[in-house]
Amino acid sequence: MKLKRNNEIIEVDAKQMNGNLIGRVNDDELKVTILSSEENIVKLLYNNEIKEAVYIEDRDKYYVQIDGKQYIFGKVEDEEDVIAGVGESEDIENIVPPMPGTIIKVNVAVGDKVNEGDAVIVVEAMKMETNLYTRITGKVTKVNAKEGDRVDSDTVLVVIEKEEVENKE
Amino acid sequence: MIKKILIANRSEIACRIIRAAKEMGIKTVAVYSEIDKEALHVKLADESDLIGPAPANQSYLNQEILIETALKMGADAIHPGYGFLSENYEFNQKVRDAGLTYIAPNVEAMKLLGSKTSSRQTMIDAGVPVINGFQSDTASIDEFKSKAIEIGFPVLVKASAGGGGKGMRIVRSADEFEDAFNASSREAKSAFGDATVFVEKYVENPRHIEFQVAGDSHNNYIHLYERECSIQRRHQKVIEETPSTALTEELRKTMGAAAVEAIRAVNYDSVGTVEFLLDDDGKFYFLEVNTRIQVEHPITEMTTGIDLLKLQIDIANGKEMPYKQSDITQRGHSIECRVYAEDAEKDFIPTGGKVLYHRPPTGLGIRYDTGITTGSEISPYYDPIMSKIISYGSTREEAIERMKLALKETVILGVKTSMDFMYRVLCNENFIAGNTHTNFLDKNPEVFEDKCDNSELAALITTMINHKQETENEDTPLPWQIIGEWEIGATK
Repeated sequence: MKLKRNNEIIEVDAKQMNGNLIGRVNDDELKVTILSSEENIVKLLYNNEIKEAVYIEDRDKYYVQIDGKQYIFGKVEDEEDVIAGVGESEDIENIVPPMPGTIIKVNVAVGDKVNEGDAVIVVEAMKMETNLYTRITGKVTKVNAKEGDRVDSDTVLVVIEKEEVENKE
Repeated sequence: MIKKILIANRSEIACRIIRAAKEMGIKTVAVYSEIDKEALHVKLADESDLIGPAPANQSYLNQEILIETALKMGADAIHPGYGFLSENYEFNQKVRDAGLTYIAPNVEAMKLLGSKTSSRQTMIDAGVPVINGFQSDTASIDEFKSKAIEIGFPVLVKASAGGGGKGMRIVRSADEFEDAFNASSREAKSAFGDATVFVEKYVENPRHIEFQVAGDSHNNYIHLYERECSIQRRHQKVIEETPSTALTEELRKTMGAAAVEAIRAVNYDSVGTVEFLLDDDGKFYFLEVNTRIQVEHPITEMTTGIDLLKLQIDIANGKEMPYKQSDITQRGHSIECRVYAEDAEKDFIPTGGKVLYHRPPTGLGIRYDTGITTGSEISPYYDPIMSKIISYGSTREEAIERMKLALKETVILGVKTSMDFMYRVLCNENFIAGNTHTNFLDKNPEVFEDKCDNSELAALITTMINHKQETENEDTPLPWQIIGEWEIGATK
């Protein structure tokens, strides 16, 4: 099956044989012995260590916590969903707030050139100001926010395109 | 005597206050905003009442509604908790004017300590060491800038109205001053409703050491020893502990005595916290007095055996302090980890979401103060704190080991938390050695690196969950219990 985590697609094969779970995640082989399991919790032996995984499924996501860390996976239905879901490539960056908030300052306008690491917008959520940075160097092609706007976590506030994009195709 | 308390707060601290009140036989009234209807504090309280829409300024910060609700519900006292209105002296006055008991220090003490200028002067007069700084309600930004140059960079720009690091900026050169000053002022305005900020000398590489104090209305003043809160992100505390590894018995005595003088100087009549910065040479400087119960109060309760909430309510009832300084002793070691809805790997950005599954930690030496339960929504409107894990041990090592176990045992699915990050801090050799300064995270960036990434294992487990969903209708309870074999492939 295919899963999505942090905008990456993960391919997982798994088969169970005599209480052992043998899997392939991307190109790595994994062998896990299931020791016990109950609703939401599974105890397992992995790399000679006993680990506990707590999990839950909610709508289109799986949540798994191992050793205090939570891993979130999205379900991937087909290839098109991958592209639509990710919504950006190496050449285009969509600046999206991490959670609903208020726009405090917009540092860029359409046509501006920005460098990797520049703070393009300042959002306030939970009483804290947070700078949203661009991970690519390029040109601002869209600005969908102004100061004082209340925005949701799925709103694309600023779109940045890599300069080389123009030369392609 | 107080018979019914309205708690003007939410989340874990509201739950903590409700429990203390119940223990004392006092009735409790919870208040809630529209999105907090199902919140844990509402369920725990004897009674509850809706006070307004989600934004804090229309609910938890609405002074008139809070007082009206207290009167309507027959409460005779209000407890402000921390944050929100807890250090607002005008609210303090209004509550008292309405004939209610306010569980906080007297208005004059709160007003004086709430103002950086007047508290500074009071501390200088009381012989408590302070840091050079400048504050004015009327000065222009240029005047602030020239004062900053006079004090000498680096300087700190801070909100006058409250703590918690909101509105705080370090400025290292005159060029950066204007931007930092304006940003600080905006944050202060939105967090506390007051844009006033002040400038002070920034002490490099300090530790944050605070003393829990208590005074009553009969001129008795004591301290309940220190807490070290040097592990901070964005100037907000993440991990606190007591005793501090940095204090000698002599320094502890000197600082404790200074903390007591600080509250004696203002006739302080409640529990509170005197904050200091401690530099590498053992010199300490007064920062401020927090005129409220603190987030990290439980570690003091664990090591002194004194219930600070009950003490605070007793003092508000006019009772005389039941302890002399010599009655207070420190025993063992305690650590608190604050579980925030935030992403440590992304600059501690607040996350939020719905708690899909919650499992609290248990066991010897573990205390868990929580504001959440399975099903809780973590909303963007309020502080992202969800719960606090407090460990206790006879030694620091034991407290650390118990906390590590608890951090692995605690499960909060559905919301990104900082628990794995805190686990790595507890494993860090500088933390273990007690080399904790407020710049700890900058100096030890490896605590942000996840060396034992289990994402592949987690992905594999996800395929099992998925398989379970698919086979659920076939009377097979769990896929890994099936005798025989099954297979899930990426190509199928």
